[in-house]
Amino acid sequence: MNEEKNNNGYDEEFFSFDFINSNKNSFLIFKVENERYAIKVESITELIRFEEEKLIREVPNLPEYILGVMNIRTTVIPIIDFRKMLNMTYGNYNKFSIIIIVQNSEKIQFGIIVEDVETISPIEETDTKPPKIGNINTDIIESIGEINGQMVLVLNIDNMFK
Amino acid sequence: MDIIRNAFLQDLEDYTEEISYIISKANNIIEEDINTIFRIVHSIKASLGILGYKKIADLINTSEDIIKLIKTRKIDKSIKEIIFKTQDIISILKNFITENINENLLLIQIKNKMNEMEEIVKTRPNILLLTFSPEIMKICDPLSYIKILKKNFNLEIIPIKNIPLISELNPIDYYIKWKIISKEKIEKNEIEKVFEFLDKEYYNIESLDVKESKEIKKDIKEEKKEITTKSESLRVSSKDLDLLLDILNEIASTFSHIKRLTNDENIIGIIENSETNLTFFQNLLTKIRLVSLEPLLYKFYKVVDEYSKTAGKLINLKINADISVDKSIFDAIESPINHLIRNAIDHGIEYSEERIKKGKEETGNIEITCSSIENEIVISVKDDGQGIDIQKIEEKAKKLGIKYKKEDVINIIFEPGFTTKDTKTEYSGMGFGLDIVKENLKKIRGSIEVKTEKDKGTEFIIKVPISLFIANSIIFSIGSQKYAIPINYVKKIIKYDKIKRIEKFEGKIDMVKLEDRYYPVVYFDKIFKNIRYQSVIDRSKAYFLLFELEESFMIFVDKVIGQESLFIKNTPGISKIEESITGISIFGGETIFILDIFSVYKKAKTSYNFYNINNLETFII
Repeated sequence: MNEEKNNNGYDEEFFSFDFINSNKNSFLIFKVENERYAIKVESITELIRFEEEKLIREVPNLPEYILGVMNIRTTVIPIIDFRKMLNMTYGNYNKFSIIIIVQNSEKIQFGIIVEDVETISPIEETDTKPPKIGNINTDIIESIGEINGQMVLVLNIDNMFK
Repeated sequence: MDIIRNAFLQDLEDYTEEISYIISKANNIIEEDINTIFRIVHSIKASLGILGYKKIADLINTSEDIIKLIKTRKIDKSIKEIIFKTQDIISILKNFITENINENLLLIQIKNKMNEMEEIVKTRPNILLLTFSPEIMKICDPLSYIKILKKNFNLEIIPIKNIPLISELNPIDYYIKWKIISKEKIEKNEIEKVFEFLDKEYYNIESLDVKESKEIKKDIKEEKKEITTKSESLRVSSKDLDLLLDILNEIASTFSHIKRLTNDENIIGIIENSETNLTFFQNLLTKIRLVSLEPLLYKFYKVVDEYSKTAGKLINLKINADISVDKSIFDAIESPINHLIRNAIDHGIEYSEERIKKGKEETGNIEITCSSIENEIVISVKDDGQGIDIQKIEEKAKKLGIKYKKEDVINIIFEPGFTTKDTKTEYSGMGFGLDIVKENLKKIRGSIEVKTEKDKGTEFIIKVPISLFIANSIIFSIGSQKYAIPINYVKKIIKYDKIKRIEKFEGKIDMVKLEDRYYPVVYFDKIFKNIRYQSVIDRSKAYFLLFELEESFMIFVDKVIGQESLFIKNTPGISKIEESITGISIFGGETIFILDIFSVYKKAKTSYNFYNINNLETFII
């Protein structure tokens, strides 16, 4: 009896090991101007360097906050200009800029281009929502968290690309 | 856990195929097949046990018992229904595994199926066919025997009229056959006892559903051998193949990148050699993706069987499809074929009595034939029913105010407005939903035609491209971006220099004169934001592409690059930005947008410079 139980227990543990879950609370943190933003690591597929020559800007009806579409290993995905989305001036993107490729809940991939990323770290999420001020798009902020006593805005991926 | 689940799922796929094969043999099911099904049910039960679904496994036990029960009996029609139900259970399980349905819900679903199965076994009717010889009337009145039968047994006795034309009719002959249906098990000998005093040559009793001839067994065995040799192939996940193709495309784009960077002729030579190999590789990969179509169509036996039963008609289905297609094609044509079959059963094939009156066989026929011609797959769904009444269509079209040409009357059945609610009652929904079939086929670059002859039958011919991913396309550029449109939509390519006259219609729409007709021109920079033409000043290198959809129009493009077979990839991200881009293709290392010409047309129509397109006829000079 005992042996059987042990076997079963072992099997279950072996099969249900899921390494995405192991860093469920980890966030990728990046800084734009003076503000820190965070994206859940589990929704990120990869980080790549920006290559100007792979970017296509001439896409019919391209919204202003999308920099263009980019051919990444034969999948062509839209790249969101995060600064433009926050109503800031265009960023000066070069080969050192980083594209964070994410996948939303509809399994649609898109990239978010930022000048640099800081770190990956767990943060404490709070339920606080940012206040609506002016015409800033607060839909894309899911909550406000904290890291080392500093404020971090956690992004809602699903609301970024509709 | 996922590994076991996937393995189970793959097994289920195999079982579905095996069962579909058995169903395809229609009336030639032999004992061996029942053993196969028994084995399948048994292994499903075992797998469910391993996965920890004890309750479901117990339930499946019932089904095992039922099949065991059938094994001991003679093979009859009920086995076919049991096989159908087994197939249903497998598809329920498949859904359960892939979509993670609640276990309790699954239990209820399976329990229902089990109950249905038990019901079938219980109410299995025993059918005997009683025929008298034509001379019987000289000896006695056959009706008296029927009366005796009715008195002594609990039977349902139905006459089957088989009366010939009056010119061939001999008034003293007897033509009526009798169908004897018993809900309980009944032995032939018992019935024969009633006829004890009648000479054997005057009557014949045969049971309708017993089939176990040794000859059939032989045939099947030979067929089986063939199947086993066929299945000596490798199972590859289609996702892996897609990935392989992606990587291949990436290599191709790297090559062209290197070619652009270097001037060294040697290097260019080497790369061009490798590129030929790559194309070969690419073609091979696309070929590997193809699957044999016929087994996939076997599921329609079930559709016909079930649907003809509810319609109360006798129908026989023939399938002839010895070709290989991209799996995606089957997924796309499945519902149109289903629709056409249902139409044929509902409106095409007549009731048995009517068919006999017309001098046709009692059983109606539906035939699905698939063949591949050049870059297209041609699927014909043909019935030998009553045909489409063209006069009725004409009347209806007049009533609905649909314009049509005389020689084109039949195609009205594909018009969207053709069936309205009142038509449905008047002509029992004639042509119902065919517009949807046509629309859906259009989406995959397919088409549909119909041929019909009164009382001979109707044939629907569907044409679809050989692969949904590969399209022979015209590539052109607007600004610095390249676009492609499948070649079958492009009617003509006209160089700008060749155009003699361009007029302005209402001061807004450019109209191009070509062969005594004027066509409106669509400029992409007017219907889309973020597009600039290169040839604003110097138009000498520009082209017009002519399209003939519901209305004809032209698209102005900067340059026509050529014609190429493109491998199309779906990119939901980009289609979300602009719906007229249905996919992309990597060609020569560059990204090409595949345009959906129908969306472009819609955009152009609603946009300001295209609103008066319907008045075009008035503009012809």
